[in-house]
Amino acid sequence: MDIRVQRRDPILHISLQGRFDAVGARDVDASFGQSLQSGDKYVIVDMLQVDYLSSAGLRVILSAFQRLHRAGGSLAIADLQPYCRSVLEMAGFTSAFPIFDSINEAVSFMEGLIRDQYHTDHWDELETATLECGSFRMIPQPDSQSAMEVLGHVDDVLYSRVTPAHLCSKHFFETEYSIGLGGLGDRLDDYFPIMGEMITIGGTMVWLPTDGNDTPDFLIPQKDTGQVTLRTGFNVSISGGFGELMVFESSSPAGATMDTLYQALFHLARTRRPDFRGVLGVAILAQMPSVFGSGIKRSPIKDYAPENGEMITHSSNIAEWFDFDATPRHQNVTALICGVGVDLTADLSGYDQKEFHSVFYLHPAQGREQQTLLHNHAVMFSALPFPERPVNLDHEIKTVVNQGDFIDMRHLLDRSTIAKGLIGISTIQTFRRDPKGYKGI
Amino acid sequence: MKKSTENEAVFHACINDVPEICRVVTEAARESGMDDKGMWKLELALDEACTNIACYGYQNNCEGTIRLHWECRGDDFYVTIEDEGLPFDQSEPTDPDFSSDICQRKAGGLGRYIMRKFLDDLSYQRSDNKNTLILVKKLINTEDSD
Repeated sequence: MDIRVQRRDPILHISLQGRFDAVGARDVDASFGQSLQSGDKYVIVDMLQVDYLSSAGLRVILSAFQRLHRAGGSLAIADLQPYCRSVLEMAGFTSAFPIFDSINEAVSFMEGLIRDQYHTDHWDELETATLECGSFRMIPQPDSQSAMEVLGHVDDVLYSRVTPAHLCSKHFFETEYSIGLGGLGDRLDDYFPIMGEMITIGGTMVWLPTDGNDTPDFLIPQKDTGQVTLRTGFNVSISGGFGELMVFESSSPAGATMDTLYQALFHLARTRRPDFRGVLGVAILAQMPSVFGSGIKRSPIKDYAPENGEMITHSSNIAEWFDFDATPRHQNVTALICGVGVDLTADLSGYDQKEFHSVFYLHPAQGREQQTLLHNHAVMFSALPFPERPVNLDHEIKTVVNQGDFIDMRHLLDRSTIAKGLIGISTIQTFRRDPKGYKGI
Repeated sequence: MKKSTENEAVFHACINDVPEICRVVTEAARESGMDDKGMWKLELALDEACTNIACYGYQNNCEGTIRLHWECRGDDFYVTIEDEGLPFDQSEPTDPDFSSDICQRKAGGLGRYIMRKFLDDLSYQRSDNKNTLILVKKLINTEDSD
């Protein structure tokens, strides 16, 4: 087997060419052995010119990966040929192993690991900010251009006039952070009449069917998340990643309310981010002392529209359409939150007004003399210990999804509280239609 | 019309010879009308079987032999592999543990798993200090799951 090794510190690139069978595996193993001895921790294996892979090759890849992982590094595979990918898939490697379509993607993955390791090692030197509600530690992130991507229109929900023609479908991915109204199912009858609050986070889709049972339904696709389709009448997703990552600890053990926390985030955004325009998208791994939930009780479809022609949030309809918790529904839980918040004191005219208003409305349980407009959905799990020095949001969220005992999913009222949180923040630059969604079912 | 072939070959039981074994047998399978995907699966299963014989059966000494015989019976392509190495591990094969953490996963058993997954039938016999493996692959793949 032809093996070319190139060092682009601190990443080692190994390009293979030929047949990755027992003979090839022997050569590659020797080459890995040399590299690992010289202390390399980050290895990318380019498989573009490998058209054959047997279990001997798999064993060498797996054992090199495990050795590097123990040393605090990683091994990523890039540019797999279809037959080789089938072998990796069959061996169950593709879901757990870092495999990328291109070298560039593998390099970004490695750079992320290297950055995370640096921040863990230099934890005490990271920038901090202390506000009345608590303290924040900033974990630097690469720059990103964030957008809110929208399917549907909030008015169609508020007037309960969603029809099958309004529905959109969308495949969702590991890193899809979105909230909205929707469901899962292949047949329209399975979900359309019972659509409810929904969230996608950490590669899962959770929704609260409005079938009267008040029991969330969730799905964690085992294989390729891109193959699962969610159905939605209204969905808002955070695109472009999180340009800010903060670890929050509240000053009081009772935690800070969502409202207080968002105000602090807006304050920090105003001082730290010249590109802050008034709207933030967030994803939070949170320890929540108390969760106050709310939920829509019916699918807001045309057939169920209120007879009086008013919004479902109108005082004459609201009791029939929404549940609001007067006392905490859950206490001391771990939650994964995805949400959006508007700083109503900011000048919001810079956003495309049509798209902006397709997303935001004043939630019925909240007063109108307020400075923030929040929309947060959360998935709750039995309390898990908060990670020691969390530096990677996707990784920590995935860990909760994999290890947590699922309890519930709700729309969060703003008086819900957070004691500790790992908060990813997108400084939203624009609102636009979601290109991943397509009309139809 | 599918053509029936009947042939035999003897090879050194050496991992360096495995690609040639695969080439000769898959070429015969192609002449019998096997499709590309089937040939690739047969090749991988053959590779796993012969590599196992060379590495474990003969302890990598390259002194033993592997005798192959292949033929078409109806829609099936049969490959019989004989060797005089150590007996195969006949413990009940278990599937690789897909649920376990990739960092802890054991790599053992993958070769046997690939053979069972990629063939339509696989049987093994030990008699007279001889191992006999029979691999069966349909000429035309009907399932499209892999």
